[in-house]
Amino acid sequence: MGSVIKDVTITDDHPSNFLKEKHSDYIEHYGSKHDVYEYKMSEYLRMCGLYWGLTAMDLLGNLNKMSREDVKRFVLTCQNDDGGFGACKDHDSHILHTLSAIQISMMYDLKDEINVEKTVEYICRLIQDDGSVMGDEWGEIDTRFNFCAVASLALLGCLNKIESKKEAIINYVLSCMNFDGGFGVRPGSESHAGQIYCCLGCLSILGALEHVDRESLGWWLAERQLPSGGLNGRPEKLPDLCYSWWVVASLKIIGKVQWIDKEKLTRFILACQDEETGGFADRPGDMVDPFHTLFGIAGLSLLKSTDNDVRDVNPVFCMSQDLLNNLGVKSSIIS
Amino acid sequence: MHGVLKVRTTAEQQEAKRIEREKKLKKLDSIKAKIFEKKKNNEFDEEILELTGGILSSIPDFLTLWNYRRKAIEKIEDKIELQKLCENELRFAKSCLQVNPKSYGSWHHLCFVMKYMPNPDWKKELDLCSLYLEYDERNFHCWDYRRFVVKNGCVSADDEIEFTSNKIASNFSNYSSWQYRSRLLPEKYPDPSQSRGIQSDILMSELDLVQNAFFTDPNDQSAWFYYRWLLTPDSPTLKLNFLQSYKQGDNLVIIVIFSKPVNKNKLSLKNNDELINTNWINISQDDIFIIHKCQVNDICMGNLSLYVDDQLQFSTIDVEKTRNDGFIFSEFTTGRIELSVDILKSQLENIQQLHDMEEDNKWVLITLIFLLMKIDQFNNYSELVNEYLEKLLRLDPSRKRYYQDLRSKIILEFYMKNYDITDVNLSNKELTSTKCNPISSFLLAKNIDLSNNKLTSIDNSHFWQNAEKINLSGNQLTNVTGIEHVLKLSQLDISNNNIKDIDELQNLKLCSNLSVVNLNGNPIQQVDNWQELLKNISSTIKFI
Ligand SMILES: [Zn+2]
Repeated sequence: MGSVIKDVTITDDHPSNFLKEKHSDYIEHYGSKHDVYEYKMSEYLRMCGLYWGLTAMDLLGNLNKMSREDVKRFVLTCQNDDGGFGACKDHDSHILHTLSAIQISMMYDLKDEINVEKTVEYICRLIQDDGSVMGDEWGEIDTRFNFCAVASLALLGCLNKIESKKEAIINYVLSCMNFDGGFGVRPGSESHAGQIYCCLGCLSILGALEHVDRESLGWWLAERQLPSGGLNGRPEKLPDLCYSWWVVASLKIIGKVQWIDKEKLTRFILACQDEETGGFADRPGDMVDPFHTLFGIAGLSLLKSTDNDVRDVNPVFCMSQDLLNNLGVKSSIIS
Repeated sequence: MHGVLKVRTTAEQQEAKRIEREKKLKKLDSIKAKIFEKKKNNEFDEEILELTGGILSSIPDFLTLWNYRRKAIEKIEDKIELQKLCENELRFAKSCLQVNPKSYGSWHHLCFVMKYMPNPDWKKELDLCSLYLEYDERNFHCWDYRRFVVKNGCVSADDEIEFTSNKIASNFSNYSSWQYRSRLLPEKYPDPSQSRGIQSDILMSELDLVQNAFFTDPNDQSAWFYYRWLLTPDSPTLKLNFLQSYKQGDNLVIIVIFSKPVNKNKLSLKNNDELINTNWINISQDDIFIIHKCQVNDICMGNLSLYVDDQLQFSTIDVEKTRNDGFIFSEFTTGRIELSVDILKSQLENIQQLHDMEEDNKWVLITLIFLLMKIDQFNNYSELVNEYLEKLLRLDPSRKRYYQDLRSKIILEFYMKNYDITDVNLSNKELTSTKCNPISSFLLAKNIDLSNNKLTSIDNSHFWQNAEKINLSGNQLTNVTGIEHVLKLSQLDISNNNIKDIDELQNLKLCSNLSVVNLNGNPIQQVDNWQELLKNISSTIKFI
């Protein structure tokens, strides 16, 4: 008995050049052309979606094509009385959308327009004494939220507000570390590349990467690469474009990105483009969406495989490096 | 959007779809309007359950609507009514999972309701998890919900170990089950004196079980990762491995190396119980956290003591000696509990058997190297290890650099088994990296020859604290980043590399003792008046 590797095949029919202008068009007109239905059905993640689209445009150097006024109006209407942000107007606050709103605010210099003090209070309320972080007042616990909380505060320049909880947060994240060096959703949960990215990002911002077993984790992450060049997020799973971000950003943070085959991965990423509509899908031939479009573009940026067509992305915040330099926001990365 | 195939449709089909979708959107809008109206009036009643249900059943990640349902639940005071409502909620959330088994919102709702309801039936939920895991044995949401049920329903670790045993028996390729066992075994059968903190007889039978798995299917990663973990000792306890102090100008320089990473904020120096104001730095640009350095103003008398947190690590840094010709302490212990050599050897035998049957299996080769290095790192096996590595480079070219780095590490550690070598000669070894165990990192070397390798960066120089002459000629360096850590450096040979840009040499000026640099055969020599530009970097360094 032999296990069959779950993978896809890339052929010459799939795109192999970077379709920069098409992606820019796709994002610019997202929600107004063919994808009205999809857009309306996804209102529950609108704020995150806006962040994906705007960051993609920023990395393409085309942020000026988006309307700052529209974005500003939208973001401001999503801040609730509790200080957090919802996905849309009238939606309840959640840490996922709060981080996205803050990231967008940084891109458009809206820090003075939002109520920073209340936002910070909201985030701090979600951080528990044991270092775990709730997604909202209803108590879901997930290491993704540790990243959201810490990244949000770092972007707002308010990390000092959690000085007394820093140690607990680090220890909680470490309690989610597994036998393979990776991290899961909660203590005991299986390692997953998305959670690994979040945990490494959190430790990076808090300056605590020394606890990470870089050899074991680097090897496990390198083994996410499949013969097609694409990456999966866990052993024995199919490749998916978004792992080009979660895995490669994680490898970048621990200084082991050279352990995968960049050329093959680049080919996989490019094959996930849609030549007709622009945008990227999870796998070659699937439907595109803004989420995978951002992570396709950001992945190419990390791999530095499109020469100067994409701006440098920061592997911790998934925002343009220039912007973070201007803001003076720091994270540690092992080289 | 995941796994949604793009299909071509006719104009007719498209039109039909458009009309249908328009209808759907209209309906969605009207329900939403009603819901938000009720929310405004704080009416979290039965109707809100019905309305939100209409949307959640097709959009289960609409978190705000789950929140409204919970608000409705919280309004109920009557126990019996509440129990009934909660049972309905469980049913509803599960029906949403049928639509999307990965919906975070639905899984969290289950947790909330189970905790909130008067008489939760944990057994029923556990059975449900078992059933779900039959359909998809890797759904991590379901595994996590299972662990939630186990914890709250007081299910024993024994039962869970048995559950994973059965899962593995029916399919060895089950990463989730192996992962769960890595948590359950140390919890159920603890023995801190043994490798992995697991009682030794349990550990042995676990090794058998996992061997069964990869003998059945040698290409399945799951078992190999788990096997590696079982054979790897726990993380080390904190030990001071190396301490050097010497005089530099008016200051004492102190360098410390630990057995495991330590944050610099935890380090302190005391002189007769009095804290000394020092600024520790992680020496390495890559924040390896094992090696730290500080400078203190020359202290006239007595001994210094080193602390990590408040624990004494070293009590007598001899200031007198330090002032004369320097002071070195070294005691390399890993602080790990290793498996006995006998056990490792019997494991090796088994894997070699598998290798005879599966010559080209990369997992077998990787594991053989791992075991050989553990059993006898410094002696008999270097040729065999090299042969396996060559084969891996051929079989698995995508991870070429991983194997090259591993080979480099093995070569370095083999060569530096006597860590106090002062003349290091490692030219022509195909090294891609000089990262290795700190013990083997040329700590005391005065001359380091790494010429004619494949180095693309200077990646371990923070350990080269005593180096005066370094030869890096014939590599693939594009810059000299890292050289600034080698403060005693006086002669540097970087001829025949790939340095193109004068700016990439700026770090050289940070080495205050540097007198000669050989730059021959670098593209930089094609830059107009490169010699003049070099003078701007430093007037005291002689560039050849
Ligand atoms: Zn994806």
